[in-house]
Amino acid sequence: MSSVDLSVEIAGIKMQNPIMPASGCFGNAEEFAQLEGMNLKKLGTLVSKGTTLKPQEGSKQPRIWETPSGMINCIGLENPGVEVMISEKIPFMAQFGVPVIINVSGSKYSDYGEMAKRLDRVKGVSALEINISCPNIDGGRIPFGCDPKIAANVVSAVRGETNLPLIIKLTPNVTDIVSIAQAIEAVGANVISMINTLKGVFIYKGKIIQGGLSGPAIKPVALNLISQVAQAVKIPIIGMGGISMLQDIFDFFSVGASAVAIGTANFKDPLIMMKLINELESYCQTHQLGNLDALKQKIKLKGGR
Amino acid sequence: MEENKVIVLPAEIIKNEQVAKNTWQMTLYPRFDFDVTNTSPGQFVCLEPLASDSVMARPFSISMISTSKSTFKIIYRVVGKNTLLMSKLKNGQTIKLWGPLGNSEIIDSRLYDEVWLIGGGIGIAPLLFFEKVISEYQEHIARVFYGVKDVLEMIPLKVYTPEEVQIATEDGLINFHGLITDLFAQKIISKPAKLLVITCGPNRMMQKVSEICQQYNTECLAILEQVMACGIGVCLGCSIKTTKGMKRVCHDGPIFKAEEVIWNELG
Repeated sequence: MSSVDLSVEIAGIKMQNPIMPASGCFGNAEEFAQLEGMNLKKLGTLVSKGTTLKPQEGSKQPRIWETPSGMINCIGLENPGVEVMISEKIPFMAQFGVPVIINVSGSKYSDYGEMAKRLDRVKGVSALEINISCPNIDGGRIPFGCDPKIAANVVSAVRGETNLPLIIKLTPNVTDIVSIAQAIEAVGANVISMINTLKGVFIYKGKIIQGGLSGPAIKPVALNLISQVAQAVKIPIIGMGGISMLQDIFDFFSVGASAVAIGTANFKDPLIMMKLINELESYCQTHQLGNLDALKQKIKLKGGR
Repeated sequence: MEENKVIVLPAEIIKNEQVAKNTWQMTLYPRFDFDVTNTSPGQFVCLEPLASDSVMARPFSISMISTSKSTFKIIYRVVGKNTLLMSKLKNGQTIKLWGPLGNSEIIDSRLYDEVWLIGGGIGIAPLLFFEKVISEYQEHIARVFYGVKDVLEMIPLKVYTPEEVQIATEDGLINFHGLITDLFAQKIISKPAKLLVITCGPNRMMQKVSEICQQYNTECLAILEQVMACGIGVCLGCSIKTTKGMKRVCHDGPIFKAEEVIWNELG
């Protein structure tokens, strides 16, 4: 059989295939490295857990709740802080020969700037993914990503400190996601990743617990928002939100994603990313599609209503 | 099998039988290179959820292994759609699982005069594996305490220790009428000098056991349970606060020193 070139380059990030883990569903690769049958060298990129300037304990229990075709999480960004990431986690992640993306979160503009400064030129870091879904403590705790100007300010703060490619992870919990995507593109964002979780709650022992909904339940929302943003910006999009099978990847490509991230599906099947990479490759072989452009041509949308 | 490697594979169901009210026992034969002798008491496996609209892994303690048959057992309560589907699986069918998971500190029972295993409800499952391992040495003494709400939920236990199983039922139909913690509180008065207590069950019960142990200056290990999404330590859904910082029940546990658990933060 002829070989298939699944590679894709996004803002200088060279990926051997378009499949990567979604931040928060992959730890910092250490646990997946212990999994028989998981070859981290075969992933498109590695992506870290959400990292903050200082270590964070995260939320109290309960933190997760299953819902029909999805789950709600309120982990609260438990993480060891950027210094431990630099000294211990990044060197581990860098050994697999695939690009490493570090996901960063903050509660002030200066947090983002400071983290970018410290991560800039750290060996093994290929790009930063900026989570702007967190509450802005200087701005009434409204998430940074809910306002075009504020979102752009975060990107500018980071851009001023690093030349690394910047992937901005957009929250779907907004009125007009297109205006936010355009605002961050204008100030130097290189890539958009979307969507983060949808705001939801669950009831636990008579208490209402806020969190973010993920899983197959949110896929239609993700497809809708990606298709809108893809038509409004020029920078590439990493699509995510409920991907669990090959057809989902095709659907995300067809609305304009250049690569995809797998999140919640890793929990039900810890080898799902390996499976999807193999399936994507054999699909392309079977249909004699030499590369992803040929694949995208084949699955191109034929209109809509 | 490399140490600490987690294996993902389909396991064959050898037996799947009801053992008490709402309670089933499944014997699994994991094919390929899952070595049951490489598992230790307290460890668990995750089963792929059977319901198509479920997204989270289902963790179950290993309750027994058979080295000669290369099989292991889990005991589970039917509490929802996934465990109901599990109870309908027939011999010869397969289910995807991954493991062994969780910390694997080997308890050296030679260091103690006796090891008391205090189980509440389905929490008895991992303690049976402990009991077998301890009782393999003739001079080691394990005592099993087993509490259930009503007698119909009581699993007929097969134990290896010559010591009689101490049973408490809340409905009072047989044996001690009351909570297992009350029975334990009575028995610990005449405890041996060097006693280790291992407990598994509802959080409130384990907390009580832990308090009694502290009162009697007795070492206590608790096998905790939390809802998990992955079981392998990446989602942080099962992280709990301890006196030693945040710990993942799935990866840093499920066995914890009871005195390090901050019980009222378990949710």
